[in-house]
Amino acid sequence: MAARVPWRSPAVRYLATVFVNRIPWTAAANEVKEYFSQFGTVRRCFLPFEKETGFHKGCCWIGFSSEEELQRTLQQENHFIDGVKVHVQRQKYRR
Amino acid sequence: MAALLRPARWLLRRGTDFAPLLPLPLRHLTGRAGLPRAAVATLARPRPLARSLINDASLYSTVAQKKSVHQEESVSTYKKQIDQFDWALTRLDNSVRRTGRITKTLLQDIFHEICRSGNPSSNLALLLLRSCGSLLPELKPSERTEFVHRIWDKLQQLGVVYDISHYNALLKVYLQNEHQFSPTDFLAKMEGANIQPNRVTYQRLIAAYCNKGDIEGASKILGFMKTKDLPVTEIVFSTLVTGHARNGDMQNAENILSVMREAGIEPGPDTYLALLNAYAEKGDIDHVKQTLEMMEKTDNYLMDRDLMQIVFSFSKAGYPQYVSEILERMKFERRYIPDVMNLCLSLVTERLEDVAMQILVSCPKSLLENTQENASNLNNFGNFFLQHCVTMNTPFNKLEEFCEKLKEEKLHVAPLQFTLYCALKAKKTALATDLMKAMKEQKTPIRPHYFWPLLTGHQKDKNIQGIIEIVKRMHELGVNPDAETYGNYVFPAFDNIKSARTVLQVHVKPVNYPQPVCQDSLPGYDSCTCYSFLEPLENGCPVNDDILFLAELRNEAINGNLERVLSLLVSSTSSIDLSSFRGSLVLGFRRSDDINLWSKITEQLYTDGHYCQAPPGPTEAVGYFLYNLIDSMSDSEVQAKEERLRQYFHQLKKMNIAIPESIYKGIRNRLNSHHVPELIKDVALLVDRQTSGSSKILVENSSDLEQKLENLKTENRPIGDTLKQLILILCSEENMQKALEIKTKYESDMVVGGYAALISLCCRHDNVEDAMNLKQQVERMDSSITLDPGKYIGLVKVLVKHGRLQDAINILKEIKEKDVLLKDRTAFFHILNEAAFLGEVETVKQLHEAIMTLGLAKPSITLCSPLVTLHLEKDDIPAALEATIDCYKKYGVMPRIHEVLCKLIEKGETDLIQKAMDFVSQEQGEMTMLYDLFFAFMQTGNYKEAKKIIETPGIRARPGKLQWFCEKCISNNQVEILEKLVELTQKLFECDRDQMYYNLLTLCKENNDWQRADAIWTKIQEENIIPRQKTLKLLGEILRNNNQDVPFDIPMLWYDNPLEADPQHSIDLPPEAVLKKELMTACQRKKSEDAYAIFLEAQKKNVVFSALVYSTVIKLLLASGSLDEALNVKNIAETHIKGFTLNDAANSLLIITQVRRDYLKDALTTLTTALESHQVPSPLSVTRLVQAFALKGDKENIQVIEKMVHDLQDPIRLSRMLFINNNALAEIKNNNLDAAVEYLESLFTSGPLGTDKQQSSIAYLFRKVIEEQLEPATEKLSIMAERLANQFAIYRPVTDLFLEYLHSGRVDDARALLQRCGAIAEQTPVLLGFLLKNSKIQGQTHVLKSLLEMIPDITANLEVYGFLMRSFGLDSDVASANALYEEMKAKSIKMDNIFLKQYAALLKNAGEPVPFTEPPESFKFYIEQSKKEVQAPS
Repeated sequence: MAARVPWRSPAVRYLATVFVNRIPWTAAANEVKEYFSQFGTVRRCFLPFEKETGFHKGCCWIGFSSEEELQRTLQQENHFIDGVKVHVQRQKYRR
Repeated sequence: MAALLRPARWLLRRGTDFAPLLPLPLRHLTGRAGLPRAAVATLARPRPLARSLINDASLYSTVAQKKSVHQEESVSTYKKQIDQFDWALTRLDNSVRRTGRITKTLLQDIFHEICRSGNPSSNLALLLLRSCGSLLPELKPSERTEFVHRIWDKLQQLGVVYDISHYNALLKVYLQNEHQFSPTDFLAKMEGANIQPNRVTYQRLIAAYCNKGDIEGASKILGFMKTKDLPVTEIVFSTLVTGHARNGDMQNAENILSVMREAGIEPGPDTYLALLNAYAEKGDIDHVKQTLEMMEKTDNYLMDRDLMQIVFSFSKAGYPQYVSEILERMKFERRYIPDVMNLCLSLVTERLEDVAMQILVSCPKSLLENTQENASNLNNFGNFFLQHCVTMNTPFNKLEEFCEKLKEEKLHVAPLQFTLYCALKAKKTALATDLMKAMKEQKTPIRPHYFWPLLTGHQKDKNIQGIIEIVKRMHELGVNPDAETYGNYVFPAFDNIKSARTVLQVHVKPVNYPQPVCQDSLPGYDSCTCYSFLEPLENGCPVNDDILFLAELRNEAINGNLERVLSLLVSSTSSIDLSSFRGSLVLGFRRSDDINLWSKITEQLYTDGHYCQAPPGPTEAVGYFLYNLIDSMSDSEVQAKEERLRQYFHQLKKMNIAIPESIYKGIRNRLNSHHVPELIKDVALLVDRQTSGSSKILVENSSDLEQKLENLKTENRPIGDTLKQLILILCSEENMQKALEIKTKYESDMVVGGYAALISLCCRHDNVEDAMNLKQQVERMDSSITLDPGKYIGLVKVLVKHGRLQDAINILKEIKEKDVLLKDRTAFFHILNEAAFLGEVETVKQLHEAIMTLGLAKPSITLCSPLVTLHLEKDDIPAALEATIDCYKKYGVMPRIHEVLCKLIEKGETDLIQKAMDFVSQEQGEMTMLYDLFFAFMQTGNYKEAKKIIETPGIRARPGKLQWFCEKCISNNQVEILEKLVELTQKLFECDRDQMYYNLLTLCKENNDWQRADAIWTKIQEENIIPRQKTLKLLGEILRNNNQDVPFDIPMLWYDNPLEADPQHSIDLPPEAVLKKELMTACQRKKSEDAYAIFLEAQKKNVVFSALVYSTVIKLLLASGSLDEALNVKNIAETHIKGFTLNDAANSLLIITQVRRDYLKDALTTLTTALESHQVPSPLSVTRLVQAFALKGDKENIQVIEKMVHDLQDPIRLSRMLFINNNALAEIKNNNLDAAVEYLESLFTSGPLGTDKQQSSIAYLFRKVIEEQLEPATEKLSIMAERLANQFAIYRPVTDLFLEYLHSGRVDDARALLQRCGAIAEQTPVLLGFLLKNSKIQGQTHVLKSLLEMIPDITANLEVYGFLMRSFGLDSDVASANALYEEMKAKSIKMDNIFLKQYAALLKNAGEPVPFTEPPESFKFYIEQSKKEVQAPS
């Protein structure tokens, strides 16, 4: 068994990724994914949970297959999941 | 009693000093006062008892004033303590400010952190102690007291020495917690610790007795106070009211008020509040109402906060029925929301949650909309209440009722969900289950992850029974556990997955449901959930086999058990897609080194169809998996596993596994960025050949690409990609010409991306024509194509610049039509503003209009300001005013009104001022108008008029506007105006005086003007202002930085941002360090006078600096020519530092300065000492010194220097001719003409100079004799030069002489010399060198011209034209330049780019048209180019 694999950025570079924040605790990956599917094909939906507490931290990465889908998402002013306004922004990559 | 109270009169007599301080300002500045702490404690907190329930945040600032007693400790410890204190204070204060309270966890966190780090400071201790009272409403009072005792003991163990402030703080906490204790014991304890009680201690002890209703005890303490002549304040009377009431003697309680009046103290709100609370505790609503009405009649108003105390008293005493009558009287001001919340929490803590609910519901809705708590999400009021109810174990049915009520009142959208959240957090399974049942009834979905928090608890304890219980509850509620639930929360509790499977299957019945399975994201956290709404089965619970399989697969993969993974994959028939376990598998691969297993698993996935059923099939899915694998690895990991990966890829190839080219490209990029391009060829093997072209792996440079492009073209193969790549590379190289050429050449193969890059390239190079052409070409290709916003803006910018307004507007229209998302909206402002400064009225107007009508930007003040700037720049003020007014009418903003008014006042345009004012006053109100006018008068120095304005009756302070103007003054360094402003606003109603002085001090700090600051300090006292701590700190800093005494303790500010604050100022920095810092700053800013002043200061204080500091100061002084000061510094430095020497550079500067001052002896000494200490003087310093000696005719010293620097001559690149020229010059100066000539001639004819003709210029000598008009010498030297030429064929001297004649304007002499010695004309290199040198100097055109006139053949060297053009350019000689151009054109002499560029620049500067296309690149570019050509002749 090899050593613990170091954890890297959860964003996959080739996907057009948005970073979603302030997700209510009631929503899990499925709900978030379902919501964002209205803007395009969600290739990736990463919503980390804390194993210690069983709650997630409220942030999620959504990878779309194209830039247009991402733009479509960003053009919508407000996003609500489970009645709560979530904060959506483009994922910035450190270079 | 009366006898005891007599000291009150004494208070009043003495109290007159304080009296003016007491009212309004204190309410605002509590605790921030710069008075001694004891005074603050009493003055700033006049109602400590009355505030027993609800405290306010400002208590912290008083704490901060305490100075640490550990002054003997080292600075670093001290600093650490300050940091720790700041850290703790910031956290606590944030909490208090936001919510009005501190949570237990927060306080505990801080306490533990402080214990862990050890060594807490005494004011940190004070802070912690003070936090254990009513600021913890969620804790029962008894728990709070327990907590404070724990802190007290622990800190004492850690070595904190308690002083009176700590004891007083502890007393206060006791009072707030209604802790029963013996005041005498407390006093004894203090005595034991040798601490003297003070007035505050006595007052609080009285309160302690009174709370118990022990009047006798209270009287005893009052007796103490009397013997010590301590004043009795309203606070004491108020506590006595409580005391009598609790003693059951309401009569006497009421009587206290008249006793007070007798003592000359009018009962204030505090006293009444004590009385009201006393009635409330008795449930006497009638008296409460009577008293309240009576108070209103006497203009004594209670704040909401006070009324809330009455509410609390009623409820706690068991009379909740009267609460509503008090609530009716509350105004529910926004600032009391934290207090309302605290009241509710305290009530819940006291199990009075129904009353709390009643209060919540009576809060007006309008109030709640914008509170902090629900700023992000509307309608979430009551979270704090529900949470606390859950903590306090409020029964479910009550909670359900509250939730319903909150929802009904539209206070909260989803109260049940929130309550569930709290229950889950607290791991209250029963409550959570009940809540979920209630939610289910309301048809709210229940999701699997709701159970995870409950499972985590059992998982940690490996409580299998508990876990099974939760899983059963899930089924009961119709929620099917998903793979995550099993994998992350169920399995880990079991020893292995097999046993988990067995146990689950025993307890629950396996079934197969087709379930949606979400993809597995990335390793580490498997997070996705899936659920379905199934009715619970009667017996047992269903277990989905696929789900279990998936969970198991993921877990095994994550743990790196690839063998098990393989066997699972082989044996299973489930239809789970690779995407649902891809992430885990990637992690598994990375954890395993067994390449064979990697390959086998990959093969299994690829060949066994059911893992890759989703279109487009296994090629894509497996390729994507490989990509993920590479992508998830770090650089070092890939590098380390390079060989294994290679094997893996080769094995895959053998297994005939293929991947699509698009994915291959992605992998290639990843490998490149991991810096292992070596692996690319191995992956390339896998590319699905059916779809692929040739792989382009490496990034080529532009010439390679161009070659390749040509090859492709001749081979008739597609060139699109390569072409685009080439264009992009050329664009990044900024090679516009080439890029355009390539584009023209391969026009038909151009793609949009290439065009887009070209467009922005052309825009950058100001090439509007080509940019627009390109744009049109793109449109012809496809009119629907959208460029990115930056390119559009670039186009607009360049079009506006070239006056193509209509085109620019068309681009704007296109932006609108195509719905381009503009990110940088300030771009518009910059475009407009630039045009405004150029005075292009129509451009600005039309462009602005277009932007507005198209709705591309919102009409902000900034965006509209160019419309006014336009006219201001042209000094057309009426038009500017019109524009401002117009902007307001159109867009509702009034840009630059201040500047317009100032201009109007300056010009005395009374009518227009009137017009402007009428308009402002009509549109924005009279107050705004008055302020605008006031500021304009201030700005223009019309203080008298300004004073009249600001004294207008009814005007009141507008903090925002005042601050704006203050900041404007500060940023423009307008001290006088700011000072006047502070003076004029003295009587302004509600003006925050402290803030005004703070601004003034800020400016003093900037100018380091301590005298002014000191005067301000006196002013502040005159005006009786209590300055805030930040003001005091600022003032203290200014004074201390200038080594002045600071007349107060500089407070340490807890709310300072540690990033902004200079930590060196907040601790006691040694004065040397402060001075040194100042000195170095002055040096950096090249303020030599300041630096010298600081230095003298330091000298006065006997401060010694390091050698480096002295050197720096000396250098600065020398550079500014202050020799005496520099020498003074040097002398002082020498006395302070043994063996102090200046460094090389400073010494060189010293020599130069000494030479300039004609202190040649000193300079020589300096040089000698420098050389003795093995320093290397600058060549300039040696040259200057030698030259100076030569002019004095001091041959000896020249020779001395020559000897001294002999060894250095080469390293410091001194000209050899320096000494020869100057020796000769010295001889000449001594009237030894013949000797000089002889000396030189011998050097030329038989010495070193004869052989090395080029380097041996005696031009300096010629120049000097000509300059000094030493005619005989000139003549002799001329004869010598001619002789050397005619007899020895040494032409350099005669040429130099000729050129020096030209240089000094003696054209006739030059011409005569040339006639006598025609060979001069053939000395081309010397002549060219002369031309080059002079072409770079302004005003030398005539020299160049006369040389050309005399030796026209020199133009055979074409570079001469360049020299000429440069010279013409420098002298702006357009006529000559034109003539030269025409001449060259006539002779068809080729003009190079630099020449043309120069000519074009000259023409443009002169405002003339350029009759040819100006070379597009920069000067630098062409110069580099020509250099390269010279270096590499073809």
